[in-house]
Amino acid sequence: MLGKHQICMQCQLNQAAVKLTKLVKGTVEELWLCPDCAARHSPFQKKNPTINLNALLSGILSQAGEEAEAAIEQPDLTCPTCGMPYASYRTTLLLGCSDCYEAFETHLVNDLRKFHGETVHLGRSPRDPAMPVTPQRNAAELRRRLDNAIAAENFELAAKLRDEIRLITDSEVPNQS
Amino acid sequence: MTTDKRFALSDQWMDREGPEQHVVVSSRARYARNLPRIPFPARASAEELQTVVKQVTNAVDTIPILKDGMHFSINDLVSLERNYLKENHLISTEMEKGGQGRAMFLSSDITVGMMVNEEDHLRIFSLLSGFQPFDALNALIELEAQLSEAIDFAYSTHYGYLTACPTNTGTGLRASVMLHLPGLSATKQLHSILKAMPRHGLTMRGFYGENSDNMGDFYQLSNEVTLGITEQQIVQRIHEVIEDLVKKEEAVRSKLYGVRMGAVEDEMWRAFGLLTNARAMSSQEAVILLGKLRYGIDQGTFASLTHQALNRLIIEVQPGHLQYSRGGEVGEQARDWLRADYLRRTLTDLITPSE
Repeated sequence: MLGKHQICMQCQLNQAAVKLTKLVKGTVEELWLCPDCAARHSPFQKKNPTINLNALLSGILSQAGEEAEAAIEQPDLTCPTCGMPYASYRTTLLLGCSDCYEAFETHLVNDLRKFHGETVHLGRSPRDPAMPVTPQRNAAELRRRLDNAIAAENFELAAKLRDEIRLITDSEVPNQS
Repeated sequence: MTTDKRFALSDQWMDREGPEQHVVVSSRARYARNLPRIPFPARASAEELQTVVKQVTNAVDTIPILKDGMHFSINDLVSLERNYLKENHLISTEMEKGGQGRAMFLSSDITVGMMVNEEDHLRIFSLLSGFQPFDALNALIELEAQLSEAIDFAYSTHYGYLTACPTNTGTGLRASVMLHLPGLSATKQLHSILKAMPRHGLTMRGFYGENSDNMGDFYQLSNEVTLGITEQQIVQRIHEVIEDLVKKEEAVRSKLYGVRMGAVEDEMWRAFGLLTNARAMSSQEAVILLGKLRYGIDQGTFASLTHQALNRLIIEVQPGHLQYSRGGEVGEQARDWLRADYLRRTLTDLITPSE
């Protein structure tokens, strides 16, 4: 049965959707592959162009769904700036130049979603001033840890926590004296 | 071979005191940045790589903290020097291999630096002792902002900073902390804790970064996701998860010192015995035994051994450091003798048992 979280044994990235069973000298070899790698694997390669790979695989894959079908297509794309073919990115996961993002955008966006769960940048942009970022520290939390440390008779830690609390409270309330 | 006399000091960041050093060895943050249109390093020609180095060098001239620091072409360093930098956590395993057009910039206080033409054109980083992920991030942002005044980085309003590998796209930020967790490791709780890390968006890497081994009870944790999240959110998450982990480690240690004090103490003194008497020792064994001295420091057993001194020793027993301090390559077997000798001398100086 297809394991729910079986990862492709070839690229180690995508979820496997196909199990390839090979009989080599009387021994059975099992290979779990994602649709991308399956498409590249020799028995599935387009030796005979009349075979519709999509139809073939989607017959096998009941669980992989539409996303997998979309990924099966091996686009014949090349980045106009650096000349890198899309297929090369698929094997190395390294892009050729910053313009590849635009050249391969429709396919790359699926990878970005897979890696990050998101596709839109939220962080700093080149014009942002370098404003210091600070933690939401709270003294109450440190005090709780101090109590624990005292209870555990870990006095070295307790001393350290006490110093930290002092540091925070000092910076919150300017010293009046 | 470098002629910069400050090179030998590139491990000085370890000597600084930092918060939570009984659990957290170091905090680091790095940005991946690239120049627009020039192919990423793996696909760039020798001339293109030089163009990048030139642009970066010009930018560095306008930034005092880097201008007054150290600059190297990685191929000008002998392999021992590259190994030394890697063990100091200043360059990656990939960079250690050397390569045309690869360069390295370090501030003289070793708090910030950059690798040029590694996987990306620039890998800008900051490195601090102990648990200071926000300070590490702020130092990084400051340096990146200075660089961006001289260099146009490849950026898309939609996808953010464009990197060679799409796993870094967006902020290009990898924030990480190196932890020593002997307590949690001893109680087998660690496995389930580490298994839960992906749920916090964190991932575990080896002692020397991606694809490297774990040593002793050292673990490096860093953020997995870089897109669709702000720098503040990335580091806040790490801050919270690690703070919690520090608490758990402290709790387990206190418990161990209470319930299993006899056994823990015995184990620590046995390690001490081996470290101060053995005649040959592998780096693996040394790291494990040194880790056990952590209990003694927590308990105030040793008068002059501190957590940061221990963190430094763990780096100093690495093969590259031993050979570097010896001034030349030494075979593996001879290194084991050298290491044992070094540990005997150093620990006798550092450790005066207070009982």
